[in-house]
Amino acid sequence: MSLASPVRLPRRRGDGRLVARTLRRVYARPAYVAVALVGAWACLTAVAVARNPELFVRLVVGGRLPLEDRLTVLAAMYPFGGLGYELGPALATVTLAGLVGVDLGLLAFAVRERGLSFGAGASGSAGLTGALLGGLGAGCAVCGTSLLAGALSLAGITGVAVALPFDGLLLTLPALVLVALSGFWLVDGLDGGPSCGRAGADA
Amino acid sequence: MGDVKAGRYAAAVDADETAAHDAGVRGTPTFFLFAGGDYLTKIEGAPSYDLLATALGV
Repeated sequence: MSLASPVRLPRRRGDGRLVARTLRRVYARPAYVAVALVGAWACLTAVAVARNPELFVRLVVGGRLPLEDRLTVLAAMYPFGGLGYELGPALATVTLAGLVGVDLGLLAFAVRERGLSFGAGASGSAGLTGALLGGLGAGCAVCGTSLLAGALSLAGITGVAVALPFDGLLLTLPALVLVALSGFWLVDGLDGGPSCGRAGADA
Repeated sequence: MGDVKAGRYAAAVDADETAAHDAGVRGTPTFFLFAGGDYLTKIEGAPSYDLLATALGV
């Protein structure tokens, strides 16, 4: 089978059913549920730490607090914890972490059950790239305003970033789309679809 | 608007921006915690009372 195109977007009527069927098949196995949960938690932790790295290093990892207090501080760093996340960004961040977890579970299934390699341009490659970019997007979203402020200041424009709406949510939304697409590409590859070539045929 | 156009407070605003930059402040609110005269950490965001109390050990 030759590659019809490098990637495709979910436009067909049956794409939704394909995703649902694949998710049911993969997540019927507890091992992949565990991978997804651990992946989502790791993503959420990365985002939380990226927002307050000094707090994490000085009080959770270092410092003199007892273990219970360290865990209290860590728990407060997550969305809906004790750091006053706005509702929109908090929901978007949790959703993003969940999608990243789902993608990682699919990726684990693809690698373990189908023997996909990351470098062959198959679904593993597309999905891994998407997951990585999505993770970066999540991290950028929480500190996006400062990054944007830095970029704008390089262009001689300061103070504009604070006027941007949604507290960095605009940077999280593209990450959500990217991670969702990477999940679809993984599913499509597992099904042996044209976007990801021979994933199914290689099994 | 007249004050803005005249740049009456431009120097003060620039000084505030420089101070924030030098202190590593990326947004508001930002808290700097000290306990017993020792610097503990910086918190970006709006910490709850429980978080502040736990961090400060009070």
